[in-house]
Amino acid sequence: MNAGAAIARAGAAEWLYAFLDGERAPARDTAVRRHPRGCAPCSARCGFAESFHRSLGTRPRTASPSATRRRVVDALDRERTGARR
Amino acid sequence: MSHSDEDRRRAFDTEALPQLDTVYRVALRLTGDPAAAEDLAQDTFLKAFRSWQQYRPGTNIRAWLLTILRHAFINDYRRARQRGPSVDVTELEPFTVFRDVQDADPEGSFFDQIVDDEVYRAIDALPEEFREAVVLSDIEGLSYADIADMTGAPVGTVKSRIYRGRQLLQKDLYEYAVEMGYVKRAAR
Repeated sequence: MNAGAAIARAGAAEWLYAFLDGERAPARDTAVRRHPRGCAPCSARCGFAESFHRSLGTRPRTASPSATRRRVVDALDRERTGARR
Repeated sequence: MSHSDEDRRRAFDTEALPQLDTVYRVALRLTGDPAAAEDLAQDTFLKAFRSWQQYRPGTNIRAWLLTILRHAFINDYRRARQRGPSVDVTELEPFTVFRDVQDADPEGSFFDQIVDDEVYRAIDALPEEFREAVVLSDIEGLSYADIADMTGAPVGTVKSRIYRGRQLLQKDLYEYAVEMGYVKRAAR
């Protein structure tokens, strides 16, 4: 199977996301990494996956409400006070 | 208070407490409810404080806390929440959404038009095992190895869950984007 066919398959799609997650060793899978540069359909698939991955990874992270922080700190203080008795 | 108690308290405050946002975010995604997330975050920190001597300084404090959170969620909170729809993931074909949009929006720019609340709604709608993997990887940026350690699943299973979770998420967000007119549904 050539690399282009491989990228269209489920296993290779998993590989692609692992690559985008930085989970692949750079020295490995060289042929598959190089392949999209010369293959328009695979390049488009990779670009689409990258766009989705970036969009998901750059969403703002919810901060804990200040009331939650107070509550946790208070609970820890009670725990510490209780532990000293 | 003895010196060791004081040192213990200071170390906990310095290393663990700054992770409260992370703990709360993951709790919120797992429980789907802000009040339950607050309870779960508090339980997690109390359990962490009681077990603080088991934490090895210099190791991954975030993964350690999230492991405690996960156990607390499974033991005390999971029953209160629907575990999400059962999905036959074997039916998921790779690049299904890409095939639908490759003419109208091949670069997938419609994803960036979707508001954050809608993305989090779609994440919350994922079946639990995929939701957990996507949240830990995409929201919290944990490595596959850390997620595998936390969940007790092999790295290959973690990779597969992240991939399948993202496939489901893409599908859901694509349906929303079509509904909102961000992208046209392809004629089949």
